Amino acid sequence: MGLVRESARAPWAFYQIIPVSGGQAYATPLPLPAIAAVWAIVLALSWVVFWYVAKVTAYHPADEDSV
Amino acid sequence: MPGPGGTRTQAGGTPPAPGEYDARGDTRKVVGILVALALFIIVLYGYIIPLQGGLISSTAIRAGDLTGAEPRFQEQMPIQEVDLGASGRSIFIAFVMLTHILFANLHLGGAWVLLSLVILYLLSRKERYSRLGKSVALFNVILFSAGATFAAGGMMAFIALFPDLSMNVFHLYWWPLFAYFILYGVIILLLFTFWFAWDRIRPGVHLALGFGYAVSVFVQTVTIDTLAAGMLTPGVASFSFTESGLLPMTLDQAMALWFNPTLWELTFHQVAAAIAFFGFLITTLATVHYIDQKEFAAKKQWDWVAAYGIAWGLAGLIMQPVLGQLYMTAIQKNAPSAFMMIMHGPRAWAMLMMVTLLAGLFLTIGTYFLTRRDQLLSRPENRTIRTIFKGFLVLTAVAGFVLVQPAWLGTLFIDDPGAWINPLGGMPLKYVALFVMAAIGAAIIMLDAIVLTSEEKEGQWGDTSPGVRSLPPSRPASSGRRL
Repeated sequence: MGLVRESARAPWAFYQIIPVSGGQAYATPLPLPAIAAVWAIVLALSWVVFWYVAKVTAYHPADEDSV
Repeated sequence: MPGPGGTRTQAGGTPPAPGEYDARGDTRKVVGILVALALFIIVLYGYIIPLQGGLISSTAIRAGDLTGAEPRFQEQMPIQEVDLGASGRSIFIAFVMLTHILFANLHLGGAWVLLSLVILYLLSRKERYSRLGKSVALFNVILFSAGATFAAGGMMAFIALFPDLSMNVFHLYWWPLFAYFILYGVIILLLFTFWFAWDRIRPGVHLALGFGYAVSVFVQTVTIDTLAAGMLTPGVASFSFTESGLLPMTLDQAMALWFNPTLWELTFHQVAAAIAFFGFLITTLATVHYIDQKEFAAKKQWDWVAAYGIAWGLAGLIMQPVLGQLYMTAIQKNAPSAFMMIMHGPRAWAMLMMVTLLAGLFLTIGTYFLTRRDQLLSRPENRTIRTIFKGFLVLTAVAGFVLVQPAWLGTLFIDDPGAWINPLGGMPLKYVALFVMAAIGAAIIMLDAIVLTSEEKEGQWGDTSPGVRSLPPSRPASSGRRL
């Protein structure tokens, strides 16, 4: 939803109040391949972190005291 | 197990014995959903987005408006010249803030799941609630620093890469941002005490700490959403600095700006989404633990955790269509051009992708309940529920088929001359499809929680083997193949 909300904005950082400077030189929103690449990197990175942290923080019935 | 007489299927496989459950059907369902999603993404990117003008920037589409705008504030410094390319600054902000949001949602949704575990443990004294609660609390304690680091990093990046914008944001939103950063301290205090004092303080105090943690994260989200929602619907058409100091405008202006027209809609939509996110994250991690762990007691625990997580995920998901509808209505009323852009214009593909992923989640959940509850559903007394679950899955698939339809093709906006209007892609039909999915989700939760009681499910945790079918004597034995 964040992407939907942010991509909906016209080329103003704030609706009709603060424009994105630079005119056509700095297109908004980001080009599609850039969005897809950022998503892929962020999801992969966060998943590795989630998986590893979950591995060391999980309380299993057999080894509760070892955590 | 080989089939009767050692026969083989056309594909070379061994057919299941009469009455035997064919687990390959489950795999086919999961693979089918993934393949359907992959196909949709390919069609979306290769066909729908180009034909809806999704590759054209807003800067180009609104070039006339941009040139004619008379803003009161704008970037004055040529700060773009930072050797990051035309999109470099924005890509950097996108990376930092997306990562921050993924970690922040661990608290926005996770705090409520954690609170539920503490309450359930106090009521039932079942160890599994305590074990999962401790796991979730420690997980959040460790990852709190990651989310906070990316928040601070994002703020630094905004100041460094967009200094004039940052200056104006700090002028306009100083007090909400001040409260936002103060709340980091409050959350650290509550969460860390909650974790380190586990089993060492009175249960009532422990519960109060957990409740305070959840409420603090919610209030912090409200404070930052004054800015996040305000960037789309600022609540004022223009403003001017009339005062010096930390509140450089009238109080009426400040209230209109901070408590802008989509603040609450965005916040509650985010909370529901974060609860769903955390629920599904627990489920995913629980399945990994289930596979990792060899002890049956551990498998039993993590099998239950997966179901607990998916219940929270489904609860959050059910709220999405309703809250999303309210949010969209508020955007339509207060930022009509933005509404046109995301619903009837070149960014409609993003909304289409979002509802398709929503449909994929509902389909996956339906499949989960149908297959994971197989032992219970295969009993003769539960055949009606099994038929209902199958019907739900078919209905969800039909609703999903409606949701993936683009509303139009061939032009930038749906009203442009020459647009091909898809008769299946209209909003009324999609609203029906969304609410059908939400209703089915609610019905699945009720059936699973009330009809298939916890006593019945208790003996099933950890044992994912399929149910045994007793076929009616008048009916010839089939391959056991299911929907």
